[in-house]
Amino acid sequence: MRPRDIVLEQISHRQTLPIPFALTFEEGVDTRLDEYYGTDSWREQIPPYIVNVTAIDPDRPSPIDDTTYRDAFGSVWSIAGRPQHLLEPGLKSPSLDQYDFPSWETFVDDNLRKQALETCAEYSDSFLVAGFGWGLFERPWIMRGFENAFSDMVVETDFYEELLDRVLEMHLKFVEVSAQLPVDGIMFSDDWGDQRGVLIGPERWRRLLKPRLAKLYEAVHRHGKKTLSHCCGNVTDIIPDIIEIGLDVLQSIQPEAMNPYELKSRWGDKITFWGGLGSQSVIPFGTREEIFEEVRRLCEGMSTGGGYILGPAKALQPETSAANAAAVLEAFLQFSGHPSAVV
Amino acid sequence: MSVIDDLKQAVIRGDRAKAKELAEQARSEGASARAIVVEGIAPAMAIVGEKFRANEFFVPELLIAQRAMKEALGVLAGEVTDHIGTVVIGTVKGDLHDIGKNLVAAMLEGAGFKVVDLGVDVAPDRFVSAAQESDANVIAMSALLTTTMGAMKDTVRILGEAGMSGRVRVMIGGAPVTQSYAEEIGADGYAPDAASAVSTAKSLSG
Repeated sequence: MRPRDIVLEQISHRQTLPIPFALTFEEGVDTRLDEYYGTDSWREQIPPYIVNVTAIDPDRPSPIDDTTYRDAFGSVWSIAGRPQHLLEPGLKSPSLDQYDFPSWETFVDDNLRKQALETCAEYSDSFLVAGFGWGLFERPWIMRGFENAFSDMVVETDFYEELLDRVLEMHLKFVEVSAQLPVDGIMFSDDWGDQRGVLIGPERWRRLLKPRLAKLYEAVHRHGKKTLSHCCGNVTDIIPDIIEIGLDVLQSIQPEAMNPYELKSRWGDKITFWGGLGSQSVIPFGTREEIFEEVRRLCEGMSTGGGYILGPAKALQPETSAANAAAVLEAFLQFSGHPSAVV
Repeated sequence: MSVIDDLKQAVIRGDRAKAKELAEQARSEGASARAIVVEGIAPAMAIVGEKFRANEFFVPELLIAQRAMKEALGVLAGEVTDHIGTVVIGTVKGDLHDIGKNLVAAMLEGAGFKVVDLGVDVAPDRFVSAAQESDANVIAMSALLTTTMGAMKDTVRILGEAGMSGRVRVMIGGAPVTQSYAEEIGADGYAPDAASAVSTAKSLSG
């Protein structure tokens, strides 16, 4: 089977061997692995199960200086540290009256679209996914500032809902643009949870976000594509709701925030889980043996009946040592059923 | 209900305009700054904390209560001098995340602590020197990145080298931080959220 077909089988809740996986790296981790192995040929051992493309620039940054830029919403960001940091929101008061809301066309990038088409052609055996950065919940806070947006949703609820609707309108257009690419799925990215639970509480999430997210997922399905969403944190309380509105794949599954095996036993036949290896725990701080044990457990426990894609909760972060990155790679290959000798 | 009771309710529901108005009214009717804090603001924030722990309140409610609290405290600016302790707080070196740290600072202030907020990207020796300068009981450190957590260990070490470990206790928090990490680095306390941070700070200030 092609990598694409294996991923589709899992999403259709049919178990596969090998188990598909995604392993991506942030700044420098992959070059550290080149040094660790003394060659870059380890890269060829990772089958390209899932390949990401985009036709959208989610920020449209205008540089202010070497470490700051203004995005198309007027928000000013610093990239002096990790992650990028909002210095000044673009939408300064809880009103859209005097605000020049950027049109959706602002963010569509022809060069990115051209690149996306080339990548889709090159990786036609892969499960291709189009994304567009910030999610429906995130855009209000990158426009208003986090604390303002969170206050707005309680004390300026009408404005907050109006803002959500404007963002939804924009994101529905992004779905249309993304669906024109020859992709298999559209992937959203929207952090609804913190370490403890749903940031704004499940009831408020159901009232403000659920019906709007449902429209986005319906739009994706109308185009015959799968819906995927990255979401950090603990969203256990709203998983039935997420399933109800049509999310096919939930990515990240931070084990420090949610128990992957509990999720599997409660909802494993209704939604596909992607991730599960701890980016706040075993990946940066574990021993090789602990990493191997966690990956073995995930492969044995999460893929029964399909509905699982193996992965780290986040792309391997810059602080990941070469030895631990190698342990993750080797454990992924071994326990997911791939030829496991690396170089 | 008394004016201070009304003020308490205004803070709990996050009504910043009312909180300010009622703090001013209470002062003009002769209530002391201490009474306003001890009978109004501090119990309000304690209730906010309980509701947060009970999953009745979430981050939005915490934020608006904090804003209302700050409006009320602003009316009393400089008049509250008998604090229950002093906490130096900040996000560690290399880390710019501050929302959680700000919530903890607000909860501590609401509970009656003097809070010295060093902001973000705070070097280990800065925590220690600020604790010295302000005669603090507690250093509270926040980190959201696994990369930056190590700075907490450095602060504990520098505090020990300065001979201040017995006098100044250290508490830590933040998404990747755990109780076992606190034990590993010799911190005195750990709190998983802003509400628990108040009780941890109280127990560490003796």
